[in-house]
Amino acid sequence: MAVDKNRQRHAARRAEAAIRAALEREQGDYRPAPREECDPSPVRYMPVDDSATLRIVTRIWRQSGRMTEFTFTVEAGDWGDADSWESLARIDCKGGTCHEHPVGRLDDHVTLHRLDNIDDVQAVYPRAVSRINEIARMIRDRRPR
Amino acid sequence: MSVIAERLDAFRESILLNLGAGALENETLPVVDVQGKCPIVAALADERLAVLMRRVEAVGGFANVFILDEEDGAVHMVPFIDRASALLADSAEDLTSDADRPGPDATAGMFLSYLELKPNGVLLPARLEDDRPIATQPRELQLH
Repeated sequence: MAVDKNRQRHAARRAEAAIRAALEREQGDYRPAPREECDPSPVRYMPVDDSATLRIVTRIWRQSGRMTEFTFTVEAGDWGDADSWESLARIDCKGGTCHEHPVGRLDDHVTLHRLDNIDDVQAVYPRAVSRINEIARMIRDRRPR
Repeated sequence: MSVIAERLDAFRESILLNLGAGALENETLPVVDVQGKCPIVAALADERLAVLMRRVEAVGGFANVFILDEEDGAVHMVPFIDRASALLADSAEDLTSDADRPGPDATAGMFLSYLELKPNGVLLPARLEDDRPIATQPRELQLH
């Protein structure tokens, strides 16, 4: 009995260590410069439907011309208030990764790319563009016509 | 999904790509809404002008409009700007009364050709008479 419990404890420790190692592999060393030290782009938004009830909002920060971080948010409009928008999904660069906050799980995140230096931010940008468009299209195309 | 919708989605993606790295990286978009945000509306040159107008109306009547001519790959950025912000607003051509105006079946591409003949811009129709946007001269861009 005691032997079984020891085995279970070892297995649990090994599993935790494996998860920690995987997370460490996922998270790079890059941390964006503080936003107050960067040049922010204006907030830009582009509807993905003709009624402009679903849109992609973009912000980019640069320092000395180099992209330090970006955010993409898919937002849905509210009939009751033209200025009220709900975030449905987001992609941003924090904690050494570029990651997606998925639809319905905004507090969760899925890593798109590990970020080890500033060049990685520019490098992952096209992939993030492609992914945020994919998400917005998926939401739009599931709506009733 | 229709072929036009797929082409339009690809164009929208290309605009976002170029905002981060490309022709729009250092571009200042002239139309800003009351909250200080820049609305972007995309259209294809062979879409109907009326469709484009509805799209602009849906974002509040003013927008940075990007029109893609797929024949030569050129992208034209046309500000649909409010009258108070347009420099030559009083001498802009009025689309509702100009005899040479594009017809109801005109495409966005035909509108670009018409706009190029109107250096002071074109006063566009709107549901609110006092809130009519002006389309000013297009700028050609080459997106990646």
